[in-house]
Amino acid sequence: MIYKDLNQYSGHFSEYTELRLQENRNNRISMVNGDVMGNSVSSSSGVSSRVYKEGNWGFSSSPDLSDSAVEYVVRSASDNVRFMNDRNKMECGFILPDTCGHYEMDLTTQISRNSQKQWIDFLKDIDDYIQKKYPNLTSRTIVLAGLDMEKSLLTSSGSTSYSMTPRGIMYVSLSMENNGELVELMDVFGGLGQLEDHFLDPTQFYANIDSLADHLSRKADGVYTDAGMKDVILDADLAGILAHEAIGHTTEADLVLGGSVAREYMGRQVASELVTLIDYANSVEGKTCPVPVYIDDEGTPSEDTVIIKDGELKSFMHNKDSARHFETTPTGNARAYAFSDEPLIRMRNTAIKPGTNTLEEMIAAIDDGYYLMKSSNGQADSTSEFMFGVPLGYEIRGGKLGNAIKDTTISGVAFDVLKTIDMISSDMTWSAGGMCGKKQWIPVGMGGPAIKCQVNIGGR
Amino acid sequence: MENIFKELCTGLFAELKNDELLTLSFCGENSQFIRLNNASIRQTGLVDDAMLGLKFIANDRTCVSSITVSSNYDVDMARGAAEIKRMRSETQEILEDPFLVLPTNAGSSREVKKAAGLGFDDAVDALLPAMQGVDLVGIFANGRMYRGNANSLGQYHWFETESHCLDYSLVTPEHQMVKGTYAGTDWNQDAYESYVDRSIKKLALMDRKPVRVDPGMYRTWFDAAAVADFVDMFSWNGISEASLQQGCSGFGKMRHNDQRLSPIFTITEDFSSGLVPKFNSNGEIAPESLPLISNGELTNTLVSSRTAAEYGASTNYAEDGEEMRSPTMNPGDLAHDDVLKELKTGLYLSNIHYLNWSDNPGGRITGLTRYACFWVEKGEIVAPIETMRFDDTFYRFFGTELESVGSTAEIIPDVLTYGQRNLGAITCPGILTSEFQLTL
Repeated sequence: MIYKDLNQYSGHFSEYTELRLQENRNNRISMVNGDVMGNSVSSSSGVSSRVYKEGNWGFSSSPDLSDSAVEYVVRSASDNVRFMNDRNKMECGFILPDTCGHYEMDLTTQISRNSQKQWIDFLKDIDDYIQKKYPNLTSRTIVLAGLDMEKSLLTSSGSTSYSMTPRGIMYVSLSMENNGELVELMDVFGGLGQLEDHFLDPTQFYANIDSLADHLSRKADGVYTDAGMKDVILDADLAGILAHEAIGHTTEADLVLGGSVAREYMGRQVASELVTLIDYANSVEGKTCPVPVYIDDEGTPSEDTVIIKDGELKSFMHNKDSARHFETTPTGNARAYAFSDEPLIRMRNTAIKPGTNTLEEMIAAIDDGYYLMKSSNGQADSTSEFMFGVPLGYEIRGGKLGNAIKDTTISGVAFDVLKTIDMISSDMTWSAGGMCGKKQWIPVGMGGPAIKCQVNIGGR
Repeated sequence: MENIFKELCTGLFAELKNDELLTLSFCGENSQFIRLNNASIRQTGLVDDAMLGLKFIANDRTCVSSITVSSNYDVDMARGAAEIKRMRSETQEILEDPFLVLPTNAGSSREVKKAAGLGFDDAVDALLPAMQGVDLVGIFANGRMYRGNANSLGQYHWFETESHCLDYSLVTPEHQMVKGTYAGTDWNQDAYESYVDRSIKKLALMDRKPVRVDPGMYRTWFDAAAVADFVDMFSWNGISEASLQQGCSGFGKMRHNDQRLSPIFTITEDFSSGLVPKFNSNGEIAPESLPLISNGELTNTLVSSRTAAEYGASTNYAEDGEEMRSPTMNPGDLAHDDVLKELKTGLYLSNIHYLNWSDNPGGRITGLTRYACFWVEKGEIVAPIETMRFDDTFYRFFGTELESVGSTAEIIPDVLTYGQRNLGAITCPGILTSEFQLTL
């Protein structure tokens, strides 16, 4: 537990200053074929300060949470910025947008905490179920992973924030051999909340595991996809990664300044008019998102960033510095992963806004194409070109689902793909375990509705 | 930092009861970070950071934990002792570890690399002059890094090094880029300025109008930085013995089908450079040099002690994840000055980007050309190429299509900063391939 109230330290501030105390706590247990292969608990805590003056930033951090350490990092960050100001006067007079907000969010579970033994028993129950019901599987891997991010923030503008944002997830990966070929499939469960909030009763997951095993069996007998440009339905998992990796990153203002393709697209039609793409701050239609952010790590109250509205590129995601540069307002996207990380422009919960179609209508509208359900390795570029692995999908022939397909890839230019979207489902599904890397990790929400579009699909 | 680690070792080992074993691993840094934008410094930062890993074994059970080291002995001892108490209790409850690797005392080591590095106060004045007149964006990391490992049986290792790394891109007004990574231990102002100057000259070539290259097969030269990206993929479902045993390695064809790479391709796990410690997180000492692929033939995989216990193999004291820690690829005989002449007509790829397995068992890798990548005709650079996707297998570009290997191996440092600054580097030369497949 870290201090919630940092006001006692405000006397150390001399310039624009952010002070953050943070502790990240991880818990991870992995079981492979019934054996516990990993059992680890870790915590990382400390204090950091960032100071701004005349266009320059100073930063300092320490793993010591004592009062003297807090004073030291504020002084050190202030010294760093003064050092810079002596040498770099090019941006003299620049001031940051002023934002102020107060929020306290503690999502610590209200359920009594489990021991590691209880978690191992939970995994063992699930593993036993899989082993007994599906004896022909080659391997079974189950991983439980919990992450608690606890932060306190005080800025010289008066913003205060305390948050304890937990995530509890379980990965289940199954594999089998078919004609000497290894076939694998994985699913992820859980999301916002501590492990106890999601995983008290293993029997609740039996149906999910049956579904996973059924998909795996079909995939083992699956067919190769026909390579080329195809009509496809990207289910929520793939639509989410497309929104995050291929569009979201290109519209982070620091990457825009670094030359992303979105710089040239502002105000232009970049997608079908059906597409509205939003980086949600904390909730969608009253439902809390997987990664709720109410005050960001610069003390800015977070708001939804409507990146694309009705197909037109409307906004980038900003921190205070980029908002100053683009002469707009910060959007509350400044986030840091660890106490020793500086806040960067990061997404929160990025998704295409649901439409009006049902999945059944979308499948019926395709004569020759694919229903692509899950993503594996994904990558995209600041040009919005992307390539994602697809470990699970089905043929669509004559408006009906057909054979399962083997592992394949999809690729293309995301802004081109968005222009081909002609149907969007009315539901909204978040993936459980989104984690984004940008020199630092950060948990993110990814998901959305299913979309019908055209992409280039790999073949044999 | 070493004294902090030693004191914690003494204190925490004293907390143990009979038959309990504890291995402590230490990972710390005292780093300066300078963020650059438009060849100006936007932020300077100082990061003091250390983590202590605890692996506790009792009752044939293993528990792992890690805590932040605050450098306040009382605070850190309290944290560590609390973790031992928690793990002691856990080991009475959890399942037995079937592949338990017990610590041993196989000796101790101490390696402290002294360097004439760049002082924190001198960094700004040393860095800026060379980059004036160009749009440079990047990050400079500088300072000391520490690794330690000790166990309750008396084994003790300490490794300490100092390094700097400027990871940057130069950008033209049309957003064409040249990437550079200047890294080392001793600071050499002339070498630094000369390195940046070479990037600036390359940037001038990027002013030419980019040409679009159609999908297809091309004769291709890869600079060492691009080769390092390919080699790095071997640490992910590649050289790991566990991956091979589980059937999810691109090296399966070499293991099971007797397939070979080119006779001029040789790669070794080589710790002689001293860039990383030879001890792993269990305190086990790897061989100074371990041939992995020799003249195209798979000779060794990386085998951790745990994998050895699980699959009945012999350990070569790889890290638990069985990734390469200090890979070194042998140079060949193609002098850098002859590269364009030998390439004749084709692609000159300085960097590749965002690599991913597209067919792991087949060794097929996809990614993008990026930064300074050029179209070459009759031994002359014509123009940069537009970004293209490639998809090809290392059984071809390190195998059947590998024509020449560059005569100079370069050290390509690991610049990642997830959690902490990473140690280590890939040492490799460039390569010339007779064919390489662009797809989009």
